[in-house]
Amino acid sequence: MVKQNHALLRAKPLSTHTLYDAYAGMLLGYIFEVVKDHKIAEDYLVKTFSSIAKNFNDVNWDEINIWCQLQRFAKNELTAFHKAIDGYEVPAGDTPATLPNLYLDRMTDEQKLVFCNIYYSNKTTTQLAEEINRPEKHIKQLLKEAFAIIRKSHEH
Amino acid sequence: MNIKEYIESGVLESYVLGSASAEETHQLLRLKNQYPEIADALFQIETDFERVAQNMAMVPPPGMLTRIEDEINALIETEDPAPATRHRESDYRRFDNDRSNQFIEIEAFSNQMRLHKAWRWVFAGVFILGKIFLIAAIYYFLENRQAQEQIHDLKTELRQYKH
Repeated sequence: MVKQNHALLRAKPLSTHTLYDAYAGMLLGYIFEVVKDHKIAEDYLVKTFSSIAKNFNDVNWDEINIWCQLQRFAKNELTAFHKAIDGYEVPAGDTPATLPNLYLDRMTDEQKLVFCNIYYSNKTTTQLAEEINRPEKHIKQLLKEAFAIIRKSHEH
Repeated sequence: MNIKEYIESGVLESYVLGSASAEETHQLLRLKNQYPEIADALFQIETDFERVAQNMAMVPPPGMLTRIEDEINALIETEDPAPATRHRESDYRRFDNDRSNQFIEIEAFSNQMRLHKAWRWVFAGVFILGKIFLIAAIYYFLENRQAQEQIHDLKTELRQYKH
């Protein structure tokens, strides 16, 4: 699938349209996991792509990972949403993900807590370390373990 | 510097998720260009990151692209096109040396010109004025020709009276 996206992008000149074809589903899935509402998620997807189109020429697309960049655009748009729900902490064992996820299901509660708070709630490792009163080094280690599980799940 | 220890520290994962500090980001970008092991590890993490998103992907509803296009068109109408040739300093300096040929050139010089929509009224005004001047020119040309003919006739008649 990752290769399919890259192949799709190679086939046509890169534009907002080709980015939509390759990544709209992923962005919508990500946004939905944050906002938990189809209508709101769609509105944020529109805002995200508008922002992408607006800043399209400012991004050096050929030297960066496209998904990372797109996800950061979505995160920026979701800042207002995060501010609105400021103070909400994702409890361990109660991840914000509502869709079945073969990767999250294999993580421990602590790994899920760290991964989801950083991935969905847009927190930095420093912020999260302070919030859950753990050393930042430990947070990064849990993040690394979470990624190791993702890789392992894919290999199986 | 112990590269293996650095890769194992979790800073790469933190960076990919956008949660690394500015200092960590700066250091990683510098080290990535120096050590291919770090560049490879980063590429692997980015790929893993993409897999997570793909696993949670949802099919956008029909008409979503049209909605986005309408929103973008509305943006274009309300804002003056900004100069877009400058590239922002990127978080990444390169994707991967071996994979750089995966990407195509994204922006070519266009031979077309973009104008603000307000100019259409100016063009319409110039067109209408042009038409008015053309009609006036034809009218005065015909008037003048008729007057010349009348003068010529009068001169002829005058000569006949003299004789």
